[in-house]
Parts: sequence; structure tokens; C-alpha cells
Amino acid sequence: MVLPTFADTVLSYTSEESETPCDEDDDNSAEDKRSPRIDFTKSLPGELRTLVFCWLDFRSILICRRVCHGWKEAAEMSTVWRHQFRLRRRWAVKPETPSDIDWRMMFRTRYLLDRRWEHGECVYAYNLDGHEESVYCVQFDDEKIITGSRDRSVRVWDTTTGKQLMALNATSAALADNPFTHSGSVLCLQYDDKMMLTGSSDETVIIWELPAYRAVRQLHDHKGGILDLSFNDRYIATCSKDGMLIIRDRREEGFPLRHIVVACNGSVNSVHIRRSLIATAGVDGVVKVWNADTGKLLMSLHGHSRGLACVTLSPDARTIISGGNDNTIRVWDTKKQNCLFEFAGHESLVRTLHVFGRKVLSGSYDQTLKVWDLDYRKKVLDLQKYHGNWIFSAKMDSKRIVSTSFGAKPVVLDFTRELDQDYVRYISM
Amino acid sequence: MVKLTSSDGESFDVEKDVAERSVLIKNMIEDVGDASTEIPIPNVTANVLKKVLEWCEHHKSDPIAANEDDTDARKKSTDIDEWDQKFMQVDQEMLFEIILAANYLDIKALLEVGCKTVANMIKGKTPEEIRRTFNIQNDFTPEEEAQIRRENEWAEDR
Repeated sequence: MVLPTFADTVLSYTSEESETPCDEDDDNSAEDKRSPRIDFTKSLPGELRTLVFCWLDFRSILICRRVCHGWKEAAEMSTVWRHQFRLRRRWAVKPETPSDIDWRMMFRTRYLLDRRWEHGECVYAYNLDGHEESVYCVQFDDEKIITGSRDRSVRVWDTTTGKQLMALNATSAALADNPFTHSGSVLCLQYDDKMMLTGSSDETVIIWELPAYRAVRQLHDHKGGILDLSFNDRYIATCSKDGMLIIRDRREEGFPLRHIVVACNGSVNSVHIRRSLIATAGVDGVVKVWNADTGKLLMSLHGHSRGLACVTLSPDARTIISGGNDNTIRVWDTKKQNCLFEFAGHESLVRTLHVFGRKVLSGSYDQTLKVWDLDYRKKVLDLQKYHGNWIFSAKMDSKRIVSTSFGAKPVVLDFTRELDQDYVRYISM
Repeated sequence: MVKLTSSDGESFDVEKDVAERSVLIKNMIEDVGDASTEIPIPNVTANVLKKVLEWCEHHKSDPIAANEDDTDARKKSTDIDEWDQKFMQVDQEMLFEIILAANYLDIKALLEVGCKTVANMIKGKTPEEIRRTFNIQNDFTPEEEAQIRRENEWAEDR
């Protein structure tokens, strides 16, 4: 029948499946009973059958696979599993995911990855071997890991193999054309598709063009080591031992200076920008939030009993997370300007914080990495055995944790090993 | 009032706002421009149409849900309100006819209630209980059954 089916608008179909294969049509013969029992997978067209399955949880759908051949086929429909995948609030795939991907396998792979995080089952841990001294900072994605070290170099690694791809330092060939190098420890870095910034105890910031890794400029804004930096598509924020927060405009040629403010009477240890909010954390133990457009102080958040080492904003800029020398992690609301709750558990200075989705990764001088959940307000993972010294920096995504500590070898914890990489590659959250 | 004619020739006089729970009928009325004409419903028999109109009557003042792929609505539970539950206490043949009619007439909320009702008939049951519910023959060999069980193991709680 050619009907305008509403179901089509709810489930835009990726495959054809309106006919059921089994054709032992005894639906009519059942009619003479008082209340006939009818196999709806035969009496309803495919898209309505799929709509019914959309109201089931995935375990019920798996039970349906065991009913008969016809039901097995119906319960394996990619559209059914795409719907199941989308019901998971925290799951997401990359934009380049093919629309005809097998969503049943996609769901299964993503589900198994979740279970590994729940159980702390890190199937594969390995070191990045190449730096000569402690590694202070790291950022990574599915392709590359970039680290900065006390050995004055920035190194680029292959995320899947752990092999060093490039060393950016005064002697490396990759830098032959580069007029700028760091003459001190590389303390902080950040990159996106087009640009990388590295900050150093040599009191300078180097701007690199990506993906060429060409150093194009060196900034001498501060009168002390660059302790942290953060940028988005609009602003570049750097902070320093000199107590200053400096904001430059990324959108304009030459990145002109916009604001120079005293952020702390002492070292400003950490800075993070999201949207037009900049959070800073310093030795005075106060979290400060600035308007990136005006350079004005918006709020000072008091609560930590000792100096701060790290601060980060959630992606929606609604939440600030801070950590430091009082061993606690505090979670603040930027609208209400108050402390929502604390994560307690670290036994020494909380040195690094990173938010991914609704999870927070922390690394401490107590040598542990912990993962916390902002919604459940509790610790969800405690990784104790991977570092034997102070942790300096750690980042996470849905697949990995990469962390650095006092010592030359960063640690990669890969939660995706032995999962089907044809599907893992499309997972974004 | 509008006059609807079922596939088996029976006519129903219905208030316009009741009939317009169906997006299909609403569009037809808009196209015709005049509600006085008779609207044929060629895919729905009188006994099913009567039942569907009973539902439309009860729900005539519900807010019309946004019609786009409303993922939030789809995330809601399979809870069904009491009146709808009673309404759906029909034999399976009628239940599936209502679902088909709701789909054809484009009545999103009724289609949803119908699909939820069927889903609730499946939930929490073993494969054998599902077979009994829908009169299905198990056409798997024991080997196939064991194989499918193994394939489902990834989802088991540890």
C-alpha cells in the first residue's frame, strides 16, 4: 500500500525492510478465536514495527532477537539501534559518521566502552618515550598527543601507536626554519586545528601554525614564567608568575593586546576561557572570573583554604571546577556565584583538572588520577597504579586518559583496545 | 461539523476540532477550504474509525505536539495515562488496526500510545512468553538458539 506514513517522518530510513521474510500466513486462521493473537511483526509494516521497538529498552530488544527468525531480523534493524544510541544522553558520534553505519554494532561498541570506564578496565597502558625530563603539559585527540617538557621541547606523538612523530626544540630538524624556540621549561600548551600556543618559564609564549608546526611569533608580554594559557576562537588568555592575566584578541591580525590585569598578588597558576568567561586561580586561594570582552572582574569565589593550582570551566561555562593545596576540588556555579559542592578524596595537592562532558579528571601530587561525575556528584573512577610520582597534567576524552608526572614518560591509558576500531573511530562522546 | 466516510461506506458526523486531531484530515479540510464536504477515509473501516474518533474526541483539547523529530518526547517512558490504557484494552487485531489507522491518518499521539501498548506487551517477558503472547512459532534450531544467546552476552550485567 502507498500511504503517507507518519512513521517515515519520525524515523528517516536508511534501509528497506517493509516485508517480513517469513510467510507462513496463519494470521487469518486465528481470526475465529475470540481474542486472536497476532504476530505484529507480520501484520504491521516495517516502519511501524520499528516504532514499537523504539519504545523498548535495548535488553528487551535483545530478548526479541531470540523469539524467531522474523523477530531476530526486526530486532537487528539499524534504525532501531540508532534510536537506542540517541537515547543515551551522553553518547555522540562524529559528524563524519556514515549514515548507513551498522548502528547495532555502533551501540554495542559504545556500550562496551562505557562498561570499561565503569569498571576502570584499562585494557592497555603505555608510555610515551622520548622526553629527557619531566613533562608538564599535554593535550591530545584521536590522531596526536602533544606534550611539553622541562627539557624545553614540545613533542608530537601518534595517539594509536605512541610513536614520537616530531620534536620541536632548538636542535630538531623540524625547527630548522623556525626562528623561535623556548629557552626554558615548556609549562603549558594548547592547540586547535589552526594554532598551537606554548608557554614557558622563559617568560614567553610561542605561537605555532598548525598543521605545519611552524613557529610564527614569540610573545614577551609577561615578566615571569608563563604558568598557563587558554584560548578559544575569540581570545587568548595567558597568566604568569608575575601575577598578571593578559588577554589578546585572536580574531584580529597580529592578535592585539586587549586587557592586562593584575589577577593575583602572587603567581597566577591557572587560567581557562570558555565563551566570554575567563577563570583564574592563584596562590591567594581565590577563584576569579573575568569578562573577556571588558577585562573586568566579575566575581571572586572564596572557599579554598590554601593556594590554588588549577581551574577549569565546563563547556557551557555554567560551572567552574578548582583545585589546589587544600587537597579538595570545589565545584562552583557561575550564575549563582557560589560553591555547589566539593569532591574530597585526594590526599595531596590537586595539580590538574580537565572537564570532558559531565566528567572531571583530576591529577594530584598524591600520585593518583581520579574521575568525578558532575551530575552524580561523586567519584566514578580511581586510578592509583599508573604514576609513581607527582602528577602534573592530565586530559581525558571518551576513549583515553593521557597524563604526565614528575618523570620523563607520559602515560596513555587506552580504554578502546580490542574493541572494534571500525566503530570506535566514529565515537566522539 | 465534518462528514467522514469509512472504507466500508459508513458516514460519521464529527466536530471539526475532533477530526483535525488527524493531520491528514486537517490538511484535506484546508485544501478543500470548506468543511461541509464529505471526506472519504478509504483505508479505515467503520469499526476502527469509530474507535479512533472516540480517542480523538477524548483528546480534542490536548495541545498539539510539535510534529518534528522530537527526540525528547521519544525519550519519555512507556507510561500510558489511565484513560488511554483502558481505551487500548482491545483485542490484538483491533490494536494493530488502530496503529495502522493512526499512522495513515497521521495522529502522532495515538500512534505513540498504540506502539507503547505493544512495547509494554513485550517488556519483561522471556522469548517463550513473547511467543505465547503473539502466537509465534519458535523456528530456531537449538544450535541457533545457543548462538544467539552467545551473541547477546555482551549486554549481560557483570
